[in-house]
Amino acid sequence: MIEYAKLELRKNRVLFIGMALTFLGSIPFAAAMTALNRQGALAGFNAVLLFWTILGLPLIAILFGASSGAGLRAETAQEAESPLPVSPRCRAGGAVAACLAHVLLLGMLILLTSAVISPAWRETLFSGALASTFVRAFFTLTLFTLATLLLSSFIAAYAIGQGIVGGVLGALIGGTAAGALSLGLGLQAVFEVRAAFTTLALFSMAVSLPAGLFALDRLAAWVERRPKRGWREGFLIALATTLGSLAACAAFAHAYHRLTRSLTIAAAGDAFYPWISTRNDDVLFPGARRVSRKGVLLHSFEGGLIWMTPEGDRAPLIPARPRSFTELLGYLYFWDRIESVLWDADGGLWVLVAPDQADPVHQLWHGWIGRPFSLHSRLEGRRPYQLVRRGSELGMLAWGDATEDGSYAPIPPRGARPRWVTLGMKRSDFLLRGWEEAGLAARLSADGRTLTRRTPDGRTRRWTLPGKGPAAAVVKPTALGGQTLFALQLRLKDGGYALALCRPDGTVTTHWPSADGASYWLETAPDGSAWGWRNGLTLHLAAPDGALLPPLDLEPIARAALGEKTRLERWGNRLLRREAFGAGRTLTRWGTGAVRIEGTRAWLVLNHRLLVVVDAATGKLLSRWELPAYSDARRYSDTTFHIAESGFFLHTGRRLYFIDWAGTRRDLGAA
Amino acid sequence: MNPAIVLTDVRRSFGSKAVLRGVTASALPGKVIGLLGRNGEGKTTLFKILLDMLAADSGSVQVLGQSPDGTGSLRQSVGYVPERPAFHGFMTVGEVLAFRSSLFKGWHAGKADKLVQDLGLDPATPIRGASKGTLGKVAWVCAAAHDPSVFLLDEPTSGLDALVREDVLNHLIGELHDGFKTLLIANHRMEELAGVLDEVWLLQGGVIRSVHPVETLRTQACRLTGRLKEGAVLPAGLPVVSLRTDGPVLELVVFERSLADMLAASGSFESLERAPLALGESLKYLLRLSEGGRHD
Repeated sequence: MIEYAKLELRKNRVLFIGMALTFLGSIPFAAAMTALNRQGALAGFNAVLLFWTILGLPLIAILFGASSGAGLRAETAQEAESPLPVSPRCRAGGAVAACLAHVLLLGMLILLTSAVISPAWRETLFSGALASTFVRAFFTLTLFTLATLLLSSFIAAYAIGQGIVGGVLGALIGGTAAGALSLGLGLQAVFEVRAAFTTLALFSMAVSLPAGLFALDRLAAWVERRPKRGWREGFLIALATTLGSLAACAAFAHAYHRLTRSLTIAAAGDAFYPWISTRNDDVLFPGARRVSRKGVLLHSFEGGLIWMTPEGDRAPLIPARPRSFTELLGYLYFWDRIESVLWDADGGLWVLVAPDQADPVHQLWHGWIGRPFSLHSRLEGRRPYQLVRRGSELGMLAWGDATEDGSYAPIPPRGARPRWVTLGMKRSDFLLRGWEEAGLAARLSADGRTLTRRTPDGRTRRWTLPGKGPAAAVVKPTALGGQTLFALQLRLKDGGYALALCRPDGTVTTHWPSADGASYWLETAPDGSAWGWRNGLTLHLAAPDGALLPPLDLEPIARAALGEKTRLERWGNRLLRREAFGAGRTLTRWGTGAVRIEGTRAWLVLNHRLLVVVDAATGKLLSRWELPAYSDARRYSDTTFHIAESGFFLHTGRRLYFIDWAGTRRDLGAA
Repeated sequence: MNPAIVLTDVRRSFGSKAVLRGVTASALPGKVIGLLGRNGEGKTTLFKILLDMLAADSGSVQVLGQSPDGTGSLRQSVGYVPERPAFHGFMTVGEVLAFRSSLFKGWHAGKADKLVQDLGLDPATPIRGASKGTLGKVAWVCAAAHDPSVFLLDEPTSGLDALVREDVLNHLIGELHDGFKTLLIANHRMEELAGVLDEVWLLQGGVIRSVHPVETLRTQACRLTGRLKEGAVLPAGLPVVSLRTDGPVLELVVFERSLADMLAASGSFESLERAPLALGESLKYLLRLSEGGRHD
């Protein structure tokens, strides 16, 4: 086959040199054209490189495949080559290999020229961007596209002995496969969690190329030796040739079907900034807390909002509206029709619904679980994107050109127009100011040594701190042990740190002293317990009754639960976290935390893979349950995990489960 | 001694047209066999099946004990000179030979060089634009340089001028004959090969109609001239070539003594004269027989 490949390389060298010269010649030509139009030579370079990368290379693959396939079938080639002692398979295989080599060489030429000319390409190639998933996927897809276009064009031209028609057929067959995979990967890039496509794409590629080679093998024997095989052989060859395209289309259809049928956990509030997150605000308000943790909010791909109980009972809140595939393409980045949800203090639910082709304005819906929801307002004019709590007031944030240009409006009375105000400051500052003005948040003094809370009726509560907190920072309240208090990190006089709890009675207590920082942000669980991190290795736990437990070292627990060789991820090691997420032997901060505390027993979730119960006083592992396997694409716990009163919901990327505190798993169906 | 070539009921059709309808024949090693048949009888098809370039619809084929299996490996032990030799136009003669040497395991560079020299070929000659004679010579070098035991020669002298043809006939084929090679030769001018042939296969109607040892043709083929008795007719379908019919006077060619004897003893002729035929003439008339020249 090697000798044949060499022969084919020689046969196609004129075409190869011609294409290389055309490419090289097109660069100064394009640069000159753009320079003449006063757009700068670099614009010309980039345009022509983009053309060659996106369109030129695939066309080259089709050209080489079709011309070589038809050439191999030509009478002169048949007469010259068929008496040689090689099989038809070798002839055809060698020809394809030679074409592929030529196309790849041209690809390398384009790539290297791009790297020399274009700073963006240089950065992509030489600054480690190749390691990124997206770039790797792009290169893999490009290589597959070139290979499949070349192979299908070759097969089609070889089968019918006609280069132009073969090229068109090959472009249709290979283009269908490449197009379906591109669409699938595009969907995955946008809907990462809900449209996982990498495995399907790799499967399609793994089917496509071997099936194409199988077709080539059968076709070569058929074309060269012309055995009496009939339509069955023809059908087999046609099927094998198109199997890759069929597989890619089926994969895309499957992914799209899954996407449109998927349900995603709708996390209430936002988590843009941990210290002002509204994610757990519901636990601060008993009315909201009573309702919000009895089930989970799920939004469907087609825009519906559903309430699901741990038993799997579903109650539709907002009706879905099916959309066409073309509509999907048009609204790719604004697909999530349920844009934001937020519990109010009474346990009512506000839902911000994004516009679509049927209704081009935002809608604000309101209702209570178990009762019909109704349209509260149509929000014309601005583009709100987030429901927020600003102290005691619920409102909406809308986009601006810069963060300070954003707008805010309190939720208007039913049917009224919202009254927008420009933020004029950072979103976080604007929101915290609202908390402070409502008397719900407290502010540190300029020296960071006193914390003051002023209520709207003019009363003031001041805490003198036994250390120094962040100067002039606004501190949101935390619910702990039935009290609303303020938790903040203090720098002590000895240089260490501690968590300070400023209680309603004016006392300040310090806890969990440490040389390297304390938990200054406590995550509150539905049972009233709270927990926080230190260094990503130590958990600080507070029981629902407000009792603060000793710091819990995760290392021995992780080793006992996950294995002796478990590595421990540190704070801030973002790269490691991304790479290791989902790995069995690395304890990651994402997906790890406390979900319940009862006495000194703590229920912890490790890596979203294990539910363990430990004695928080001793760190002893008491129970351990495997959780359903989840897709490693699900990096964000907001849409993976929802803690309820009697257990927690876990979205694996494919199914939704409920796991109760005894570790019993309930499959709630595909999601 | 095992036959070098064995064909058993080999059939091959192209669409609805049956070209080979059950070819059965065998060739012993060292034999030079002429394949006679009119145009379109399937000589080239038979060669391609023997070379594993074409699959038989049914029947079995063995060349040197090896059956065609679609891998092309059989061609390692067969030398083939096609009717219209073709090579890649972008190569020179030397490059063609170098390319072939990389594919044929038994390629003998010394032998190739000697053949190039003997045939007066210039390795630097470009294939594109080369004369038919040059291509024919290159085909001969390509067929012989890997020292195969079986040669399939499809009109090997077609397009060659007289000098080259003489070279090929007297020199090359004779040498192969002496070297105990098995040759199957299709040639419309079979008489040119009279000196080296051992056997002639007559391909007609998609089957090997008859096999004629050349020695038999040499000693038994004859021309019969006679006058039929009044009212007498010859039986139809006799394997004879009718040269002339002039009323009751007939001139026939028969290829076997037994047939001539049978005609003489049939009592149908008033007189019958026999004249021996030169081998070249016999072969020429055999071809006419294959082209439908038999007596009706």
